[in-house]
Formats: sequence, C-alpha cells, structure tokens
Amino acid sequence: MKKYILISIALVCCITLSVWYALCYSGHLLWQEQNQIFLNTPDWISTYFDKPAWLGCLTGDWLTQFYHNIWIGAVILSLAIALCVACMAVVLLRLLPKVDAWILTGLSAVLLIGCSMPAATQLSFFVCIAGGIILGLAKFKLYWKDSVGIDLSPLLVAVAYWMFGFGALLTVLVKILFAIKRCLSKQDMRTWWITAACAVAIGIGLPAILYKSYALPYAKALLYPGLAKPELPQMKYERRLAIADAFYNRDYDHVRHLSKGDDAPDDVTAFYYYLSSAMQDSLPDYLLRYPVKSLGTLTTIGEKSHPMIINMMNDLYYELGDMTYAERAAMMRNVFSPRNRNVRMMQRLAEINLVSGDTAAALKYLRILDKTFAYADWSNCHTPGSIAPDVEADIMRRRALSNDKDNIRLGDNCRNIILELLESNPRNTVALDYLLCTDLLLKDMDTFKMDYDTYCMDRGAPRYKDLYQQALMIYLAGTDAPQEEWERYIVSGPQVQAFHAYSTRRGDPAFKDTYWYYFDKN
Amino acid sequence: MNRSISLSDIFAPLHEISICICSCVMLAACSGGRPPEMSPSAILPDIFPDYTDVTIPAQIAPMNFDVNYPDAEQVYVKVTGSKEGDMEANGKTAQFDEKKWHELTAKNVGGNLTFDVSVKDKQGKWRRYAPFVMHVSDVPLDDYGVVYRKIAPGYQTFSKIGIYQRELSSFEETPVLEETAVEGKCMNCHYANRGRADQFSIHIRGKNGGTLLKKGDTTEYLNTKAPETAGNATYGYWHPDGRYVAYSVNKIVQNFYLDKDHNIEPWDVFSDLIVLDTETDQLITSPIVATPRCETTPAFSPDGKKIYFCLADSVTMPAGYDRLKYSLCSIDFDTKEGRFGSKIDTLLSADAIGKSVSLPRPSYDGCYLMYNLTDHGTSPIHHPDADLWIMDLATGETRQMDEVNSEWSDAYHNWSPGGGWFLFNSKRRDGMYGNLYFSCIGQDGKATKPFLMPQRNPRKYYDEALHSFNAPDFIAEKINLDMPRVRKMVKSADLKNVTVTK
Repeated sequence: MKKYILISIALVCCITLSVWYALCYSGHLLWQEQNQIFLNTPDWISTYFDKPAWLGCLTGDWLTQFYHNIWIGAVILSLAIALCVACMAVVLLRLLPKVDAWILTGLSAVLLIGCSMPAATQLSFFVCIAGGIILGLAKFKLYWKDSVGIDLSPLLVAVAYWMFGFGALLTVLVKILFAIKRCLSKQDMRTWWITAACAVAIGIGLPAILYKSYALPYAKALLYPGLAKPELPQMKYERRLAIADAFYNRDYDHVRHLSKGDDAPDDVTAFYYYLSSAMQDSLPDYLLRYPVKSLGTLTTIGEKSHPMIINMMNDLYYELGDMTYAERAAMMRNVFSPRNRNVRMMQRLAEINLVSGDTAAALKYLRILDKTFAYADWSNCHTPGSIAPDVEADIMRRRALSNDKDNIRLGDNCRNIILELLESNPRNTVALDYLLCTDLLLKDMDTFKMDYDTYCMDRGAPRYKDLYQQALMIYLAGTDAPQEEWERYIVSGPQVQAFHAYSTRRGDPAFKDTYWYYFDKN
Repeated sequence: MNRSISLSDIFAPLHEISICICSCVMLAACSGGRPPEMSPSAILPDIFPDYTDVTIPAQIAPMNFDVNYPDAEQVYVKVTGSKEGDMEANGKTAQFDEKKWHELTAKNVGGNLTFDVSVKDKQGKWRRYAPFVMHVSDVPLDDYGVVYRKIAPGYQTFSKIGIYQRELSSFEETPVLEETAVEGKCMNCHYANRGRADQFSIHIRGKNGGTLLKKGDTTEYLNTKAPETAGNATYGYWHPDGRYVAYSVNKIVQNFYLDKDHNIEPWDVFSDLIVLDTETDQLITSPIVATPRCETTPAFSPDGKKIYFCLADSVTMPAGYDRLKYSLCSIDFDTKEGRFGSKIDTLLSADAIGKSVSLPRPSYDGCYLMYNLTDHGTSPIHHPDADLWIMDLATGETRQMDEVNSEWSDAYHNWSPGGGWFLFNSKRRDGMYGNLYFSCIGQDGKATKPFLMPQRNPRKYYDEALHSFNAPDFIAEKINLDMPRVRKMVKSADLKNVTVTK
C-alpha cells in the first residue's frame, strides 16, 4: 500500500513539475533546445567519444532535441530529475533510517530542481548524475572455485567516467558511503574499504591519465561535462527568453504583449519591443509609449558578448536587411554554442544565404538541418527546388531590401550600415525608422533633419508619423523656419495645435507620450 | 620521435573505434548483393568527391566516395590495379578497407587503379557506369600527415578553435592544441621547419599571449613583442638549418564587405619583418624591412640565403583597400652573421602586374615558388578571385595554375618536404568553407588534378563540418605537444622576453 502511495506522490510531483516547466519555464527549455544541434548520423554520434561522458552527453543532447515540443521537453526534464531523485532515494534508504532518508531525498530533489533553473544547465547533467549513482549501486564480482570472489566493482568507476564523466565521482561517493556503513556495522570491513579506496583512486586517477587525450584541463576533465549550480527560478530571464522566442516565431503582437506593463524594462525586452514594432511598420508610433531604452543600434558584439546579445544583433541585422553582419553574428553565435553550433543559427545561416542568393552555402546548412529530428521539414521547405511559396515570397522581400553595394565597410557603426541599406533601397522602412528613431533618441536634431530630408523629402516620400512631425516642429521652431517650410513638412493640424499647447506648458506630464516632452525631460 | 606509450594512447583511438562501429552498423544495414553481369554505359559516374582521373600518392588513405544519385540504394565498386591486384566495396557508399587499399596502391605505384562503379536504385535496378581511373603516382608522399587550424570561416571568431593533425594514410585526426586546453585563447597558425614535429612555433593571442617555440625537447614561451618591433611575431617560416625563424610582425584589423561574394578584408595597420635567432632568443631587425611600407609573409629560400616576402606601399586604409597591392620581393640573409642584406629585389612588381601577391612558398628542392595572386589585399582566403601561381625559379617564368584553380579562393598552399606534392585550401565546394586539396607537380611541370582530402564518409563529413581547414601544412611525424604544460605556461604568463639586435 505504502508503495502505491509513494508512487502516487512521485507521479503527482512529476506531473506538477512538468506542467510548471511547460507553462512557466518554456523559454528556458526552448533556449536549451535551440542552443544545440543533434544530427542523426553515425559520424555525429561518434564525435561524442572524443570527450568523457559520451553516454551522458549523447543521451542528454538526443533528448534535448525533443524540447522543440515544449510539453515533451517538460516531461523529459521532469523524468530526468525524477530518475536522479529515485537513484538518490535508493542509496539513502540503504544507508539511513527511512525518515532521514526521505528528508534527504526531498532536499536533494529541491537541489536538483534548483539546478535545472539556469538556462545553461544541460540535460546531460542529470543523466550523468543518474548514471553515476546507478553504477555506484551496481556490483561486479568475479567468482571462481564456487567460493572465492574478487570485488571488481571499482572498475565500474572507470566505466562511469567513460560514460558519465563527473558521474563517476558519485559512483565513488556511493562506494565510500557503503564502506562507511559496513564499517559502522562491522561487516566485512576490509573488503569494503579496499573497494572504496580503489574506487577513489580510479575516480581521481583516471581523469589524470586521460585528460591529455581528451584535450581538457584536469579539473574540467574530472567534472566533465560540467556541474550546475542550484538557483531560484529566473523569471525575469524567462520573460526575456519568452519574448525572444515570440520574435523568433514572428509573433510580433505577442512580443509587444509580453513586453507591456514593465516600468523599467531591461535592454532585451525593450529591444524586441522596438524591433517588433518596426516589423509592423509602427516603430515611431510606439517608441515613446515605452520606457525609452537603446534601440540596439549602438550595440556592438564581440568575444565577451552574452549569447543573447549576439542573438539580438543577429535578429536586428537580419530584419534590417544587412546579411553580412547578420551572418557574422550567426557565425559568432555558433562558435560560442556547445560543440560550436546551434540549430537556430543554422536556420538563420540558411536564410541569410538564401536571401543573398548564395545557394551552395545555403544548401550546406539545409543539409545539416535535414539530419535533425525537428527541422527536417523546415529544411525541406527552404531547399531550392522545393521551396514553399510563402518562404519564397519572404526571401524575395528580404532580397529587395538587402544591401546591393559592392564596397568595404569602414566599421561596425550601425548608422553607416543603415545608410548603406537605404542607399540600396530607400523603401526599407525598417532601416529608415531605425535611423530616424536613433537620431531622435540621441536628440541629434540636425542629423535627424538631414536624414529625413535625404531619405524622405528628397525622394518624394515624406513619412508622416506623429513622432517625426513633433521632432520636425522642434527643429523648425528652433531654426525660426519660415511659414512655407512649416507647410512643407508639417501636415498634421492637431499636432500643430498640440505643439502650441505644449509650448505654454513645457514639461507637463500630460504630454509624456510626445517627443517634445522626451526632448525636454529625458 | 621517441616517446613512451601511456594509457592515454590506448584510450585515444576510442573515437576511431566508435566510428568503425557506427560505420559497420550502417554498412551491415546497407550491404546487399552484387550487380548482375552487364555492360557498362558510356557515362562516367557522378561521384563526390570528384576523384575521376586524379593522381594519388600510394600512401594516401582510402579514397572513399559517394554517388550523387538521390535514388541510389547501393553502390558496388570493383577496383582493379593496372599492374596487380583488385578489391571491391559494396554498400550505401564506396568505402574501402584500409589494409586492402594500401596493399593495392603499393602494388600499383606508377600505374592506374580502374574503378568500375555500379549503382542500384530504389526499385532494385542496377546501372553500371563507365569505369574511371585514378593514377598512383610514383612520387612518394612519405609524410605522416597534415596539420591545420579548424576555424569558422571568414569572421572574427576569437576562440573555440584548435590545431589538429591528420594522418594521411588513415582517417585519424588528433588535436595538437585545442582551445579547451588553453581556454579563451586564440591560436595562430602552426609553423614547422619542413614538417618537423620537433621544430615549430605557434602564436597564442590575447591576454598572456606569446609565441610558443618548440625546438627539440625544449618548449619556450616567448614574448616576441619588443618596443622596437611594436607587435608580436605573426606569420613565420623556419630557416632550413633550424636556427632562425623569419616572422612578420603584423597589426591586423578586419573590415567587412557588403556584397555576398566577399565577407571580410583583413589588412595590416603596419607590418615589418624580423628574424628570431632561436639559439640566443634575439630578434634580428633591419630598417630596410621595417619601413612605413608593409612587409609581410616571409619565407626562407631552400638554401637559407634569401627571404622571400611581400611588400606593399602603404595606402590610406580602409578607404584605399582596393589599391593595396603587394609585390613579391626577396632580400638576402647572412646566416653566419645573422643579418639582413642591404638590398631588396623585386621579383614581381604589383604595379606591373596590377595584382597583389601573397604567401610565397618555395618548394624545398628549390625548383619552384608558389604564390597567390588576388586583385588586392593580403588575405587570399577571403578573395574568391585568389588563384595559385607558380614561378620556375631557374628561369623566372611564372604562370597561373589553371589546372588546379577554381572560381573560388584557392590559397594557403604548402609543399611536402619530400618534394613534388603540395596542398592548398580551396573554397570551391560552397564558396564559404575552405577544404584541403592535394596535387603533385609532374615531370612536365604541370600539376595533377587536385583531390579533396579523403574522409571515411566524405559527404557526411564535409556536409556536417562547420570549419575551414586553415593554414594547412605537411608534417613529417606526429606532433606530441604537452598541452597541460602549454596551458600552464599560458596561464602563468611564463613568458621569456626576447632581446633585439639591429
């Protein structure tokens, strides 16, 4: 009966955890799935033998690809944690009184769940823990003449290291704990201590022998594939990841919905809010309806950039139409992923090369994606020859907006990049809005006026947005422009009246959504 | 090189074993019967890599290939030597048994191998193609293998790279130095003295960066940056007697192109030549090769009396990027005195040819000098127009190597110490990733059709690889670098300062 109660409690906990992961922590799970790639080919699988913990890493990475479906991912992660907890429970129940064992099991469950909270924690961490403990529990004795036997279970530590990396340390720990237990109960102490000592020697010694072959520093070889630190749920980061995922899925309304209600949004949230607005041709409309942050146009990426910042720059340049810098960011992001590649950037590199018309390079990435479980269909509908009509239309649209100049870039100044894009195609409104809005956030009115003239007025395509009208009024008023200038630039009567009203009440919060207020107050 | 066998040597082949297991599983799943007797068609099989009519050294690993037919279910290949022997491969792809392959090539040195390919489609119907031939060269390639840096192509990647060595007679690839061993550090190319495993240098960039110099049993970590040289040693080339290493000191920056065929243009803010005396750890400089002009990529002549290098007039960069053109020059070097000569000879003038020369590499027998020509600049791997050229050093005649060049970048060439064979990096497959190709200069001075470095499963390998084979070179023996020691040296910034003599 008690057994059924225990199973029921475990089941309920597992289901609860799965539901929580799926509903509240999906951004983290998707990040893990998108931050790696798993190819279903023998060559790829064989590369797992290059480092220790091949079984832990292989199982972990193979299962992580199924995180693509968030519910399956949540169940997999919960079951992996449950397996670790079950293994720990078995060990503790053999060592301690039941109550103590269950209390410690509960604590270890909490710790393990805490370890799953950081986005960097990989599933292989849990597989290695479970594998290490299971091998610690296993016995391996060689008998002869029906009586004498040699305990070869320390050799399992070597197997544990080969298969589960740092999990071997848990194998050793289990052996030591059982030795202590035997010692305390005075049962065959000598044999157990010899076993434990051999296990320790192998557990510490084997990485010392092999770390050169694995091309790892000793400490890294000992703890491969890496430990995780328990943390509280990172809900702020989860929100950022969810926003980035909504953008990835081109659900711009959802991005804006998720970004709302934050008085002090972080850079990532604001970045995607603005970029989603730009994608809906409404960046000037929403720029000041949100706490003003950087548009991302002044951000540069490098060796020490956070992976999410590189992702953001990749998204920005891709949407602006600059395939050179989008490709650079994608390459860089790949390099700083586990095993130097990830599935999202593989998709992006394929898209970039399709837009650039570089079919041979695009096919390379598509062929790789074709070997994945979750992206084979995506690869198929992006492959030249079987390309889906909506994909084709999107590629052609982006190609029309991308840079067609054959020149060298003098730096990674985003302003120059946008100017080049506008020279190629003045109708690139995403680039145009980013240019003008960056000028306005910097309150550089002379540059704004110059850019507005160059890319709107001189080309006979004035962009009548309230934000630009308000900014132009500031410029015109500040330069004592004649009436005909006002009539040339300003078409909105209500905006003129509002400007006059604001002039008598400068700094009035009633005008906080206007550029005049921003110009005066921020 | 003598070294004791450790347990790590025993465990290291696990990767190979695992590949064998995975491949055997696949082969077992795919192997089927043989094709029925039928006449071959007149059409050559469409295979990847294109190994038709290539010339191979007898020592090369099995030249496995795939067929480019989407409906191919099974491939049967019968290989017959023109002198003696035959073998076959039967499976999803053409994969040859290593031992039998080497026996067959050894028996047919100077002869041909004829490949009779039959393909079974998904309906179970066999097609037999016209046989193609590989020529087994009588020029030996006795080197252990090749060394290269694996790096994401064309972009600043900072770290996560490694230097690897690959045995030419097998598919074994082992790391020489990986980023995991010196975390966060970027490694420059590996420069060996005629492929020697005990004489080479590697520059490590970033914090605590320096030049790792291996000479015999000694490994030193040198700070080659001195006030007089303004920068670290970058591109290197060993003197044949092993005492000196010529380097260029380069301050490199990168700019990005806008068009799709180019991505990046590295260029030098400044670059000068220096020579490191490895016996005294002194840098030899001279005002004649440390000018406001750009001197770069030095290479000693095989007799060690001369240094070939590239020289460009400085232009305003990056705006004048398309006017930056390098000439091929040489300067004498007095090995006894350890001194540069007093006169620079121009072998190819950039003004005269309207192109830019890079990476001069004399063959070790002193017969040829191979170099790159591009429209401009100093980094041919980033230029699709980069082609290999060869100069006959006896006559001074120079020609474009049309027989090996492609429409994409062909660069980073190096000669085999044994002579005849050379390798180079080409982006001909997709325009993005540089792969390794091998060719041999024949009696007529022409190069043979280049072949892509064989892999156990070439299509899978090259499709899945996301790296270029950067700065490849031959190595005579397997390199055994003590990575933990290097890590310790780098981590502790255990740098030995060099002194400068003028």
